[in-house]
Amino acid sequence: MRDRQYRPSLIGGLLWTGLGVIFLLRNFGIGPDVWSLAARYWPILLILLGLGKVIDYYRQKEGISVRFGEIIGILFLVLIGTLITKATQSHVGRVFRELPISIGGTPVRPGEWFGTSYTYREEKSYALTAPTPVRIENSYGSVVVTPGSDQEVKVRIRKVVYQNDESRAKQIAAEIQVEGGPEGQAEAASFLVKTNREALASKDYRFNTDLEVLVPPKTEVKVENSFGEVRVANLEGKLELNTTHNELEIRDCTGEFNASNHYGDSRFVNLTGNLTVDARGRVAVETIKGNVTVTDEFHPVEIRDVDGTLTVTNTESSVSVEKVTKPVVIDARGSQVTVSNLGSSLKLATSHRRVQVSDVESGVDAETSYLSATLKNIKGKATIRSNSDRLTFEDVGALDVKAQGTAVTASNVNGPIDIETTMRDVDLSNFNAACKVVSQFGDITLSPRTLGKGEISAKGRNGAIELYLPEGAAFEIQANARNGRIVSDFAGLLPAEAGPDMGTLSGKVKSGGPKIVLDSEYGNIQLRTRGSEKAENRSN
Amino acid sequence: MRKALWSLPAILLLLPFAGCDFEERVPAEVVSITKSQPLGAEKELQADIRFDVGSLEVAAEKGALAYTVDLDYDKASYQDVITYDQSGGTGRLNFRLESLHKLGLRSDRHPNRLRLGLTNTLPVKLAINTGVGDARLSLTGLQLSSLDIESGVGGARISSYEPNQVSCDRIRIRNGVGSLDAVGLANLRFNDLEFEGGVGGANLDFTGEWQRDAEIKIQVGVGGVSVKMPRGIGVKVEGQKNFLSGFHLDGFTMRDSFYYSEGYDDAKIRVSVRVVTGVGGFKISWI
Repeated sequence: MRDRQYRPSLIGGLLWTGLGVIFLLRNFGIGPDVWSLAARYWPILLILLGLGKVIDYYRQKEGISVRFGEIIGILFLVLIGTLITKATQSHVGRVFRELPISIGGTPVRPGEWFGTSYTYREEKSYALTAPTPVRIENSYGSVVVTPGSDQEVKVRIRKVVYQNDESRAKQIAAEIQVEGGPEGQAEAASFLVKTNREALASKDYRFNTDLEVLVPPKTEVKVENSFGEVRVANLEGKLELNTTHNELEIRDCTGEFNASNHYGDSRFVNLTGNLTVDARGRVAVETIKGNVTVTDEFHPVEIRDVDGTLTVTNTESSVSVEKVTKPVVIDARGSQVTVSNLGSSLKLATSHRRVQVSDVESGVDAETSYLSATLKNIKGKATIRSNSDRLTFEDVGALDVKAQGTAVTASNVNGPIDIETTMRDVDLSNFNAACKVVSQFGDITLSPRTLGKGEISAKGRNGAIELYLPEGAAFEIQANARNGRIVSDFAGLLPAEAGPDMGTLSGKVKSGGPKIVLDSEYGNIQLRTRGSEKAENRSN
Repeated sequence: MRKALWSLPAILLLLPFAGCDFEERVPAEVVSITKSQPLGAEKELQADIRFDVGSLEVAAEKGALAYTVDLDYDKASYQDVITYDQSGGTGRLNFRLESLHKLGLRSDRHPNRLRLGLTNTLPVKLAINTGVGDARLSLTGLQLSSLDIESGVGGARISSYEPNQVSCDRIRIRNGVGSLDAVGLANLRFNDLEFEGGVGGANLDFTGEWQRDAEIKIQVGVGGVSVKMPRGIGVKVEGQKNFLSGFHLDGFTMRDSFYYSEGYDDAKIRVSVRVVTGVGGFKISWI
């Protein structure tokens, strides 16, 4: 192998040096924002590379060829360029911009690479003579409310002014003020904390105001924010919090809670009192002693550990609920629903997505369509109005399904069963109470654990009916296959051929017992002993 | 490749001087508008929406308002045009978000967002044209009398979970580059539905409450089209396979150059599907 010799490039060295100087000057606030320029204009590199190839083609009359190394290089370039673009536009970019880093004891703000801003802090205190609700207004910045002294409202404001010139930034910061004072009269009186952003609206200032407000620990607080996060912790009293486009969090509070957040995530942790949430964003609720109501759309809702009732409305996303002591109501069309560990009942309306319900102490009442649902360990009765679903039940107290085009599979049902469906199969096993199944155009397979006192009735139109009974079972049967045949495994209980393709069977086995009625219009009927299906499977 | 790598610092070096008069990158100045129109003597509503860049949501609005608009956009780059007039019993909402076509790094960019609420008390003729961005059309609860959607680059989702209170004479959906999911289309109670596929794939779910026979025309684009039909509906398909596209019809038999679903002759509701195949595949499955 021959080593290729490259001549050191003077131009290349100068280019790299020049680039370093530009970035260095930028770090001292001199010159344009090269990172932002690179973030926006990096695809020009791809265009230039492509143009270079085309020029090569015409100059050298060679076919346009792309080498493996070039493909890797271009992919690498696209990856790096995309990452820079995303970083400058995203929340990560914002965090990065505001991140303080200390290098050699000197604070360096990487954010200056993306644009110049100056931060100023100020603190004000206002005395309170009597317990007064506190109202906080802000926009384009965060609001954090925490407990402070009983006799005062303390406000810490962080002003971030986006301005190249530091002295001008300082002037603007001096104009940005936080104002505090009583508003309203008599009983409606409250203490208002707000910035003077409205008064500065006519001026072309770009700034953010982050407020940290310390209020008496037992007080009513109302926050109206937009384009900024809201966080409240460790307070006792009624809270009404509104924001948009950013996070909202309440944790470790006692009182009554009303929260509204559009286009931002919301989180509620360890609250005592009723909670009402109006959201258009992801919602997480955890450890609440009180009733919870959540209204959302298009975003996931996750709720855990509620000692109270729960009502959730959502659409086109998902709802996840775990451990709720009192009744739960979920209306979530087009959403995936996962529910577990309920101390009371569940009422559910949903469609088109997967549903999983488990461990419910009371009954489940559901209206479902076009979905696949699994319900396990339901102590009470499962009452389902269904359209074109695939329903699976395991360990259910009782079952009532009124359906169209729905397939039903159930095992271990301890109470009465009543199922009506069309076009799809019904398969029931290990039940021990009365059972009534009607399925038009679908097969019916029944395999009771024991025969109880209740009647077993299966009626089909075009599908077959198969009934598997314990070998020693005592029962009374009436079976009609008007256009089909009947097969029986029970000695002394043989079907009569009432005509061509028409079978009937009636009689008692042993001393008789629960009544069994099987009726099929066009399908066959099989009366089998339990275990015969396994034997058949083995022989097959 | 080595030359290309050397040219990288050169281009980066030139970039700062190429733009000349760039501003510093500062937080986007976001315009946040909430607008609505009380209902008057309108007997129907026509909404014509053009939203070039951003995220769009449409939903039914309860109450005595013809429409509500919740709009955020970047003031440096866009300008809104919202007009509403009412004459002859028809309210006409016209919405545009126009780009100002400014170049340079003026500010940090803020994603545009529009949430449009339309009255659930009047018949609505809805025309939507989206450019770059995602669209969610939650049509449940609307009285939709016609629907025309043209989606550009980005995903679109259309859903209807309850039967439309009025019949929808015509639905036209044109899909662009992104994927399109439509769920519960039968609930819209349409006579004719025309779908034109683009580069992105499409899932058309015709579940819901079928109340009448209907005609569907599907033009498959580069992305495939997957159709879901509820059992019990009689479906007749007219279309031909070509060597480029897959043509998967689950449970159909061919008669007289048409494909018929099982039980078509006895079906209470019959749907005729005319398919023009493209590069992508076409599939019908049952739910």
